[in-house]
Formats: sequence, structure tokens, C-alpha cells
Amino acid sequence: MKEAFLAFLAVFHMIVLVYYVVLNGYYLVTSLFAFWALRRHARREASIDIDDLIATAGAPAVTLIVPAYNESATIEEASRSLLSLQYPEYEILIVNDGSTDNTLEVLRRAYRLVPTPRYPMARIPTAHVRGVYQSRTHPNLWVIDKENGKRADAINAGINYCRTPLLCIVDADGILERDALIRIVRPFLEDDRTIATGGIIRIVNGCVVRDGVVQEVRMPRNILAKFQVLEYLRAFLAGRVGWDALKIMLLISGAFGMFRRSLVVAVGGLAHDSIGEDLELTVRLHRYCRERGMPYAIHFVPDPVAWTEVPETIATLGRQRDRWHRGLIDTMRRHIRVLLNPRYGRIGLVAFPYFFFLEMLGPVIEFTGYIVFALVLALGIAQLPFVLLFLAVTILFGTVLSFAAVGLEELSFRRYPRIRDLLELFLLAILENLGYRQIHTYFRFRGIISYLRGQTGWGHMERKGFRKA
Amino acid sequence: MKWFDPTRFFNITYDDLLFRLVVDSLLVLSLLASGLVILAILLRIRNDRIQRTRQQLEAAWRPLLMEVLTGERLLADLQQRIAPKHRFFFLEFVYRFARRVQGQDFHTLCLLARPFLPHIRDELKKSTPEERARRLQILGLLGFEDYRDEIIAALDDPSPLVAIVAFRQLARPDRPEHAPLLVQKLPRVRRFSHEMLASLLAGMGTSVLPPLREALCDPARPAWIRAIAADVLARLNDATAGPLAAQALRNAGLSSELATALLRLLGAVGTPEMLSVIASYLEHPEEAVRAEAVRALGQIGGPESVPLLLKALDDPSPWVAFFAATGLQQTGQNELLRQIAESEHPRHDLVRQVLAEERLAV
Repeated sequence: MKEAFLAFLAVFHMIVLVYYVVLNGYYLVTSLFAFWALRRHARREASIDIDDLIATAGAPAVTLIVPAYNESATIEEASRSLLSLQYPEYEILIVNDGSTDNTLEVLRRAYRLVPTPRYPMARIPTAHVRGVYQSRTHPNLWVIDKENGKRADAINAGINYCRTPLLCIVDADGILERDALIRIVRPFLEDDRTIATGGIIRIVNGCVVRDGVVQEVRMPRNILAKFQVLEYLRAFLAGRVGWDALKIMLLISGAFGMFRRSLVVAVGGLAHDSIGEDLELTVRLHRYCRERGMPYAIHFVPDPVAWTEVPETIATLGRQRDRWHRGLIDTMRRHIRVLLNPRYGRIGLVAFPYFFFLEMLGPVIEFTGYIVFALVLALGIAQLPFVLLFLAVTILFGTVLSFAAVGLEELSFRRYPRIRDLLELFLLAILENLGYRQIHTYFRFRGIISYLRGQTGWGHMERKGFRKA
Repeated sequence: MKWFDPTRFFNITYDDLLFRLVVDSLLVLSLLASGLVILAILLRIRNDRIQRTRQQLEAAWRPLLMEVLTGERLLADLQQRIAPKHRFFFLEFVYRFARRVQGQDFHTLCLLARPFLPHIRDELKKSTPEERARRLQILGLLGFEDYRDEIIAALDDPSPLVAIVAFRQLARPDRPEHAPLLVQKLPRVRRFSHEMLASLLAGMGTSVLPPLREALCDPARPAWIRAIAADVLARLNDATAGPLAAQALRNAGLSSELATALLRLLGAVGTPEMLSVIASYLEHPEEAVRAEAVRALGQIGGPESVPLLLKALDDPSPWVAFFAATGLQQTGQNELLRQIAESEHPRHDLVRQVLAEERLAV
């Protein structure tokens, strides 16, 4: 009996070992590709002037779709930033998704909204639209007021009213940099096959914002937000830049992503009953194009920036990560036929398995791993020095990858100007292993439990508003 | 035989391979981590120093440049102050100014940059595509006349990025003589947005019309090139191209991209005699083609198009119906539209929108 128990523990440890080697190996490969891609991007950036692109009459018209639910704290500032974007021709559709606060009132007051006829040019089913308003002060600003139907439903309503070849989904609590739109549209100009592009999400907590523009980039004061700065750098600069270089972009963030309208309509818009609608839409676009043999490309562009507010309390962070993980499981389940299917090329053989085995099932291995590790130590089964050494290696591997992400930021964009910030990021890369990572794993594990229990809620996200100059 | 001994697994000693592997990994990772920290800090110091140097150089050059532009200082005075290692940076500095000025000032900046340009011409062959493109851009702006041959040759560069930079440099209204060459070289820049290419060619003005008309009529040319040709001719309102487009549309089996572009061209320059050709596309299976056909009907107008537009108002596609309503409004059928707007017609909301947009436009 004891031997069987030991055998189980040993096999489990081997699984954990393999998991860590594969996961960190994968991150290492994407980081190396990201390094190559960022160097190339910086040179490419200098080779065609952004002003030239802005001046090109061929830049397609864009509609920004902004789903808003109880966003009264940030909506005015966020929409002001959208109105000051540098782009030849664009329209803003703010979709008020049945807010219970005074989001609509804030907009009505700030932009002198008047009811205006506007016919939907697509028929994706959504909750009832109560009214369409146009701003008297800014004719390219429209507000669609509808009954609550969750985020995907609100975006679908926006897609229905979109009339331009490209649409860009932006979070209502986000701030786009002035040249973000022309930068995110760039792949559409440079590669005619492009159907979707994603931009980078950076954290606005702690930054100084004036008139909808981030005036000064600073590290947040809140420790949770600080950890998330590092996490986002890792996810975007090491992760997505690497995926783009490997041509395995499976996720365009719903907080800032641009899509060809016709294709989004052709696939039926966002899945209204999905929680992770951004990932689900990207997977569906891949499937749609590959199943029809259409040439296509989905890109990540690292320089168009959307600044967003992140949770500063454990409870809010937990709800957010729980929801993200439920969304991931939901998408994996819906598109399970893509998994290891050669018909879908790199998407089926590399990207989808990564999300399935490492991202979706990872928390189960990690969370159980912590428990079993503690058990082995408590029972005195394993030798303490070896256990500690093994733990140190796994932590150090993760730290090296975080250091690499900070290094990539330093190599490319250097958004945090003070040397103090740089050193703080390095320190955070070490500290996050002492609690934050474990909490994060727990939230993701909890997401699996919530999914199995059939929870579909979004959870409440507190908005503090932007820090003014 | 026991293939796996769990007791042994948990009692690993330093002599075991796994133990040594873990220790070695720890050492390697520690070195790597320290290396990355040191590298990032050094990178920061280096970048800050470069930035500071550039700021200092620019601060020193800017007043001198102003004096050169106002004629208070000789060109050679400033040129002599540029150290060989700062040549490229100086050219980038001048390039940024040159993009914002015209006339005599622009000419002065070109003369100022002239002695330094041969150095970057030499780098056109050996750099990475992005660096080649950047150098080509500077040569194109500050030394086009001297380096025209290099820019034309860059259209055949193996990198499409370099080719598009050369294409942009040549596709200018003041360089009409390059129009036939650019039309011929379109396949080199195929992967770029076709709307962008059409926009660049249209920017060259009427010089581009003859080679594009030729491309439009040539069924041997790829459909996408003919579509770009039709798009440019429509942007330039080339009346001569109308009959050519109508003739091309009479051929069955056109790709939807080409059919759409030809219909757009007819919308811009077509005549009532061409309505029958357009009408034959009203039943096309592709929504985009039907929409463009209806839009062309509305733009050409005339009493014959009204019943066709009214019928198109019932098309299942809202886009087709929208262009039908817009077309009816363009042909002066406002009273009819108002009646539809107040009726139970399935598209009365859409018609109301079109009427409201007209009021806003007024």
C-alpha cells in the first residue's frame, strides 16, 4: 500500500516536472522569437514613417466599438481620448449595455446626444436596442442604448450598426494613445490578407492622465497592480510578440483589437453566451478561414497602446481571473476539434494545444502540485535539500522569463522612464513567486471549479477612475 | 523486473543524475538571471546616453540649421561640424525637417544633405531590409534626382518592404514619367493593401491614366491588377474608361473583386446607356457586387433606374437596400422616400435614416 502511494507521488512529481519543463521551454522559445521580432519591429517602424501612413488616403475607415456597462467613472475621459485619435476617418459607437448607473446621462450631458435614425447593416441577434443617439458636438460619436445582454451582446449590437470595412473593439475603461489606431491598422495596409490585429494593453494605475491622455507613465502604488504590470509585460511582449513571430496568434484581446467587419459578420459576430468572447472569436476566425481555404493573417502589433485599469483588490482580481479561466475552458470545449488536428496547421498543432494543456489544465497541475509537495515534505518522504533545490529551479526559471520580459521592454519601448522603475520590475519578478503566483494559480483553479458548477456571471469590477494631473 | 523505484525517486543523493541536473540548472539559471539584470541595466545606461547625445547634438545643430535656412550661415559651416560617426543621425535630423518644409527651404536642406548621401547609398546593398528601406526613404526625399536609378532599381529588391518604399517615392504627382513603370511593377507590391496602392497611383494624377486603361482592357492581366486599375480610374473620374469598363463587365465569369471595381468605375463615369450592363449584376450572388451595382445605378440616375432601385430596396442585404435608398434620394425621389418612411415597408427605418442624413448634410 505504502509502495503504491509512493509510486503515485513519484509519478505525479514526474508529471509536474515535465509540465514545468514544457511550459518554461515554451515560454523560452516564444521569448527568443519575441526578441527577434521586436528588434525587427523597431527597424521596420523606422523604415516607413507613421506620418506617411496617416497621409495615405488608402487608410480604411474604422469604427470603434466601445461596450459600456456601469462605466460612469471613466466613460467621459475614455471617450475624450477616443475623440482625439490621429486617424483620417473614424466613427465611435459607444454601446450602453443597460447600465444601472448614470453612464448614459454622463454621455448625454458631455456630448449633447440627440436621438438619430440609424439602420443596422447586419442582423446579428442581440438584446433590444432602445435608442440610437448622435453627438451634436462630435458628429462621429454615436451612442447605442440597449437592454443588458453582457459584453459580447453589446459588441454585436455595435457590429450591427458598423458601416466601415474595419471595426475596432475597445474597452470603455481604456485609454488609447493618439496614434494607436494608425499603428494597429498598419498590418492591414502592409498585408492584404490581414483579418485581425491586436494591440498591447498597458496598465494605467499610477499613471497621470489629463484630458484623456496619459501624460506621465509611472508604476502603480498598489502592490497587486505592480505585479500585474509585470504580468502584462510578460504576456504581451514575451508571449504575443513571440506568437506573432511564430504565426500562432490565437488571442486578440477584446480590450483592443481590430477586425475586418465583413468577416466578423460572416462568422456571426461574437458568441453571446461565451465568457471569453475575445479568444472564442479569434479561434472561430481561424477556423472559418482555414476550413474554407482562405488566405488570411492575424497579427499582434506591439506599439499601439491601450491603457487600462487593473484590479487593486484580491477579491476583484480573483473574480476577473476566475472569469478569464472560465472563458478559456468554454472556448477550448467549443472548439475541441481543433486540438491536435493537422487540418488547422500550426493553430491546431501548436497554439491550441498550448492553451489546452498548459493554460487550461496548468492550474490543476500547479495547484495540486503545491499540495502534494507540502504533503511529501510533511510526511518526510523526500529529502528536504532536493525538494528545495527543485523548487528553487522552477522559481528561478520563471524569474528568468520575467527578467527577459523586462529586458524586452527595455530593448523596445522603455515606457517606464526611471531607473528605479526598472529595478522595481526586477524585484517584482522575484517577489511574485512568494505569494502572487500561488494566489493566481488558486484563482484559475477556482475558475475550473466555477465552470464545472455552471457559473456564467461576470463579477463586479470596481472602477476608481484615472489619476488626474 | 522493477522499471521504476519510487523509494529511490524520493531519496535522490548528489550522486544521482537528476540531482546534479537540478543543481546545474540552478547555477545556469542564476547566471542567466544575473546576466539579464546586468544586460538590462547596461542597455538602459547605453540608451540613455545615446538619447542624451542625440539631444545635445540636435540642440547644437538646430540653431545652426536655422541660420543656414535664413542665409546667415554657409552650408559648409554646418557640414564641416558633422563628425563621420554622426552622419546618419544628421541625415535623419535633416530628413525630419525636410518633410515639413517646401520650396527654397527644402532645396537648401537637400543641398545640406548632399555630401552625406553617398555613404548611405553604399549601405543600400548590405543592410537588412528595414535598414535599406530607411536609407532609401532618406535618399528619395533628400536626393531623388541624384539617386533616381537606385530608387528605380529598388523596385526589384527582394524585400517587398523596400519595394513599397521605392514605389511610394516614385508615385508622386511631380514624377509622372514613372507611371507606366509603376503599373508594370505592381506585382512586386501585391501583398500590400490594394486600396493603398490605388490611392498612391491616383495621387500621380492623369499621367497614370494611359497605362491603367491598357491594364483594364487586357484580360491576360491578373484580375487584382485590373481591379486596382478600375479603382484608380474611378478616383480620377476618367470618362474614357467608362465604355472600357462596360465592355469588360459584359464578359461572364469576372471575379467579384474585379466586378465590384468595374461597377464602382461605372458609378463614377458611366452614362445611362450603360444601365443595362449594370442591371445584369443586380442578381449577382455576392452581396458586395449587388451593392456596388445598385450604387452605380443611383449615381448614374435617370428615370430608368428608379424601378430597379425600388426593387433593390427589397434585397435581403441591408447594404444593397441602403444604396438603393441613397440612389433614390440622389435621383430626386424624396417624396417617394418620405412615403416609404411613413409606411409599413420593411425598410422604412433605413429610408428614414437616409432622409435624416440628407437633412444633416444640408
